[in-house]
Amino acid sequence: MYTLLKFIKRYGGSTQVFSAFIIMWAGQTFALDSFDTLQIHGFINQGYFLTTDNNLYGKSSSNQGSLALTEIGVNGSIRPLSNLGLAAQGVYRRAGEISDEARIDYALIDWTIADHENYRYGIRLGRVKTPLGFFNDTRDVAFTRPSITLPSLYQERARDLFLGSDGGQFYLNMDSSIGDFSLHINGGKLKDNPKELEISILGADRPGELKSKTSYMGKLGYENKSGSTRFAVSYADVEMFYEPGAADFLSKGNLSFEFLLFSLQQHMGDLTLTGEYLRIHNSITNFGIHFPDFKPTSESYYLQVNYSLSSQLQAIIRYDVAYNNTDDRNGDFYATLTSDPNYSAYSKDQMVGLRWAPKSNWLIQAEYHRIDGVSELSAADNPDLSAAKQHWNLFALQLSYRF
Amino acid sequence: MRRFHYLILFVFSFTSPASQAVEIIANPSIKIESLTISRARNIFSMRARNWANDTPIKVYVLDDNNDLHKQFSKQILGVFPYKLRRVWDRNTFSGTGQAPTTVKSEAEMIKVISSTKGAIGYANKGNVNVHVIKIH
Repeated sequence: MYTLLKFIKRYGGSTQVFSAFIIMWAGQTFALDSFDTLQIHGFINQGYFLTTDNNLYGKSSSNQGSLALTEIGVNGSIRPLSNLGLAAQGVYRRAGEISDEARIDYALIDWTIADHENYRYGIRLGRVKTPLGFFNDTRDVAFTRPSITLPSLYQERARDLFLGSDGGQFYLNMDSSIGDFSLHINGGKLKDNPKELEISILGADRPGELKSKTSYMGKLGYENKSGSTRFAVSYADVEMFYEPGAADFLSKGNLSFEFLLFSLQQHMGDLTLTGEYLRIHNSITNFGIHFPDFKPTSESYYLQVNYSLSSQLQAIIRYDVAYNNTDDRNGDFYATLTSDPNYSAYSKDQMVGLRWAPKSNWLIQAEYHRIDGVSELSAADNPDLSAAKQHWNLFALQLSYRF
Repeated sequence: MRRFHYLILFVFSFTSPASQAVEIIANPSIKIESLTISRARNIFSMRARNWANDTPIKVYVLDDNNDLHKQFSKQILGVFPYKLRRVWDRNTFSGTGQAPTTVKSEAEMIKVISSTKGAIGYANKGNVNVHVIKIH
């Protein structure tokens, strides 16, 4: 621009020449400086699931297993100005009986307010991904997930709450002599009518709908310079209410979920240790006399070890636990209140797996899980949870490609 | 005194440019001779977006498994390649930034950098007709 102004000063003079230059400049800015920054990327995952009992992503307990987990995403980003970015991603996801839909995963405008060598901050407006733990904001991309099935603290049942929010995000990155710090704070509305969550909390698909109120999520992250150690604390305050339907025995109740999540990862040569711990304070109140208030605390954590056998092949073991209610870990009390078995209140999942990346844009994963408990099963794929088996095994395969 | 000599030797073997076979190269339009290491990290992490003259920074890299990429990442930036990959993937798939362009070979890297305004990448030492940027 500066060079152009000098050029105009020297050679141009008349307004016609000037306007012509401005038009050319505008065109050029778009064609060269901005359009040049356009990037298109995407991913596709195809899974295969076979279980001894209970269903995961389709009829996995049938003899032939299930292919009903397909995820396809395409995104684009562009930087029209030096401090302004635009980005959007569309995702199609078929997941058993739970979902078969295309959605706008994110669509945002990113304004960098300050950009200095050692720190930068800004805001993103629109539909923004939720920063929770190490893996949530890219949870549908196999390459960035720790395994085919996410650890239970990433709650497939409450997935709709985790995806993103319509609102804004403040972000800050800081580099210091001991490493990099990052802060993300989101405020906005989550997806309305999360069916799986409604069934799991209200016991069935009720006539009314769960609706989101303004909710807040934040994450403070640290990473050392080389990237071998990283740590994060995430917090979320998710607020929802129940909008009763016709002839509903439930009244306009409130739901509040307070998440606190600690994440730690350490690389040591060929070995990587990853652990995350989540506590949720649930508060389900004011649903009327037929549905007493309850405020259980849920807990979930896992420890995963990855070992690199070669630059392309990793072996993985993981132990993953979830408790719906820390005051009733084995679910006995829950079983007396409902028709569900006690083991629907927890899940203990031992996993071994292999992760093979023959090329950097291809990934093939295989996993075997031995699971005690069914708290993580989806109601859509297992309509009669009271008939679910306590001990079940899962074999999963997944082929993924990205560009 | 002998111990001191060893110390010197030790420090030297880790910091000597001679032990580094890879160097940062850039398009001649970038009128700088050197970068601080933190600025270089920010550039290759896609956090720094513009050169001082407001030209967009265009970052080129080789495949994650390429030996030259691994050398560059560890020796020049002092960062494990998986950290760069993590940052780029988060950028790309959560809408929070962009990723560098991956080129197929060192020859292509040199060619595309010499012909693209604002471009930066890396190559083996000793290539002629490239604009080398030192780390200070």
